[in-house]
Amino acid sequence: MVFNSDVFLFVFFPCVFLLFWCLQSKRSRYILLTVASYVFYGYWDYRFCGLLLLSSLVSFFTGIIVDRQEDRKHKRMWMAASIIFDLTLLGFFKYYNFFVSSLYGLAGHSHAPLLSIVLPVGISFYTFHTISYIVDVTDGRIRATKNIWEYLTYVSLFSQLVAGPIVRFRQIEQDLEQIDHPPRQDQVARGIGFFVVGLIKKVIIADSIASWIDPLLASYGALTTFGAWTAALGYTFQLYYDFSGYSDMAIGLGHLFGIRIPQNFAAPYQAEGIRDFWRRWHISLSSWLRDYLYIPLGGNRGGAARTHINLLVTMLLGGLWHGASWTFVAWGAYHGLLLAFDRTFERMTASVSKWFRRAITFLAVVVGWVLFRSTSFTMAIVWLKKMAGLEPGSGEISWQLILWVVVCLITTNTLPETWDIRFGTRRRWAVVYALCFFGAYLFMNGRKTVFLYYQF
Amino acid sequence: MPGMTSAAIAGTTGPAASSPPPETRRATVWNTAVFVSIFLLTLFIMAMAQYSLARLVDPYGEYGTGKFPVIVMDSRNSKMHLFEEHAIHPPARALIFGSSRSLLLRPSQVASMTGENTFNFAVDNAHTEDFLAIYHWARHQGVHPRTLIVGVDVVGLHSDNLPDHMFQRINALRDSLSTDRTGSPFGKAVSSTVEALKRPFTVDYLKDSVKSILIAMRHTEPSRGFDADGFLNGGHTGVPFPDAVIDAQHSFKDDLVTYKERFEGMDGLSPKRCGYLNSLIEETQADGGRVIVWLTPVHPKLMEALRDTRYPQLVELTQAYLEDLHRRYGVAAYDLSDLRSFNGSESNWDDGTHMGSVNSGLVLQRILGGTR
Repeated sequence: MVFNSDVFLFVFFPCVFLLFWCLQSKRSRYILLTVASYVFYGYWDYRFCGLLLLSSLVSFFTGIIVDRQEDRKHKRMWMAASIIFDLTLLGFFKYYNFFVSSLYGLAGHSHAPLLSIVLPVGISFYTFHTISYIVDVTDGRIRATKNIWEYLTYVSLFSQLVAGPIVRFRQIEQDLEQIDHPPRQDQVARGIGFFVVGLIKKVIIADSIASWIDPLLASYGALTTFGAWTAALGYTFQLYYDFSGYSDMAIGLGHLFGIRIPQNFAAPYQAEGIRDFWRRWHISLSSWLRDYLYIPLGGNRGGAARTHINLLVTMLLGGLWHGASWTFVAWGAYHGLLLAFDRTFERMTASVSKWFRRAITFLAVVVGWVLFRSTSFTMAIVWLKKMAGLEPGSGEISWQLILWVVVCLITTNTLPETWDIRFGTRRRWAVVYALCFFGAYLFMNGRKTVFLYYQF
Repeated sequence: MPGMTSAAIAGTTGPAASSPPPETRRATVWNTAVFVSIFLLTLFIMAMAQYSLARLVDPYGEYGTGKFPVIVMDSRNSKMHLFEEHAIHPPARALIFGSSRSLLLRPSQVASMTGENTFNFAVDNAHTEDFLAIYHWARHQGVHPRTLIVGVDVVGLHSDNLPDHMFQRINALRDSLSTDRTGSPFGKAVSSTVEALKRPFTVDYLKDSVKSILIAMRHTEPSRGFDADGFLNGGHTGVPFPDAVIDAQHSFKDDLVTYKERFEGMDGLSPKRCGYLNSLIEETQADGGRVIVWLTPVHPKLMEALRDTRYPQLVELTQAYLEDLHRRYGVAAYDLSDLRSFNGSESNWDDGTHMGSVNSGLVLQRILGGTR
């Protein structure tokens, strides 16, 4: 089920919303949200509900066991066991075929023993939820919850289950504890506001750009230099509006159930450096990688060389997290190198004009998205060569796409991020939100498009 | 990563209210309920307004309101109405199927060559599901055609399997194709009603409604229509559709862009759509009829411009498929993708893909009078 589908908008969500606020107790609300989230998840493929439940139960009980251990060594041992379990599931479902085919390819064999595996949607996200929970319990940042329904609600909450944001238990623990509070007008208004803005970003902007970009990239070999740049810029904005639109909708849905989900985007294309970019783009993932990978690897505590290696490893794995493909690994490595470069020449770049830094950062990010979007290295190389003017082309670019690119270039550089909007909470704003929602719904044009980050 | 601050957590840790007293709780719930009610009421009003506009203007001619011009020429609906009025008594014995490329195949010419009362059932943007669905529908009307002349386009077998949006709007066609015999009639009726209610809630519908109103205000009439036998004519003018002459200097640039979009993403022939055509042939033959299939051409200059695309390969696949139909079912299959195969003219074209009536006449002569 996707947020921008009729079944979600007119059946699933209204039923869950109404039932949620009719119920009074914490326990009943936890149970409702959990059951609803499993229905939401199972609507795609019910067979994987068991996997989600298994992963949740393992981390829930491990959390309790870890909490009871006095000895730090034992705590860490249990933590490691739980993480290995989670990563084994993730590794099998997401990376088995990738690694096996790569290894066989290296060995020169053409017939790798591949399995017919369906990637469970959202597995990358809920695995990170459970890992962060276990690590936080082990490190004493939170106490393990004894309430299994509260925990199941946290892991499976439908607003964030499939494509994030990656929420840590401690970030929403307080709201989960107060889930029995009555609905507040300001919270509901903000929730609707966030959701409507997210819907507009997705169905009006991202999907419109996608309708031009996808056919263009289907025959990337015909792109001219101008076309290659337009396609790269178009995808840059499509990805941003698609994913930030999804995040806004998730945040809005959270608000509608009294749960404040953290910010995931902060005007990333206004970044003045690559580090700054990663403070603004998919914040929940970048901060997760920082706290649960980069810092445990040693962070910047071991000198410049060690720091650069840690950055590279973190970003390589971050790239691989996005998908079982070498192009994602290359994209991660590219950003790791950019981060290392950014650190090394930090003082030198500080003296450069802000606008120049912004432009260079933006260009570097756009080049990275070429790797990210390409389905193979061949495609990436051809596309980059065309951008560099090294390969001719004859394809034409529609003026509508050019217009979208120009408009998005202006809006991403001037308009505030959704998080910075002060959503009106008075009653008259209900009319405004309804009009915007209605307009956005019309733009769906009867289509049901999937969010780009669902594939991860 | 260094430099990555805890911005991610910003905004999540604001002070949460402690449990409110009952009277405050009631007020809070009331205020929220009012807010949500205003939101829903506004949505309801907007939905009613949009639905009323759709019913009143009826830009696709779905509701038969007739107060404003139907701006999207719905050849399927129009021809179904004409068929009911003129082709059941006496019944049509030959049907012409195809896309807009077959609109100018003249039924009277077929009738004079075969002696069979003929109806042109070619419709815009047709795919093979259209042919099978129309055949089922015609049979349901009590008509038993003896001859089907089926014009096959490459894009009519597009691998996207997406039917034309007009096809999807017509329940009679959609249902006649449905092989789904499961589910309760009630469930199907609900699903069908929901689909019908949802249909006007798109921006395209709104745009076309506005267009229809503007056309009515400017008093312009559609420039094309159909004769009683389904042949394309000049609409309100009552004169024959002006025959096409393409300039020798005609630039195929626009045709190229448009046509490339048509087969964009097509990586082969759709097995599902080939299945529809196979079923059509099998059913027609089982009913004692015969089927003639022919592959439609594009203008040679457009074909030349498409040389570096995957279009030539798709044409080859379609040619092979037609050959296979001939072998498997014994149907007469004509590859007329090359103008020379029927002595067609390079000038009698409306655009890069639509031939004029002279060329269309030559096609009929070739497939009804010639040998394969």
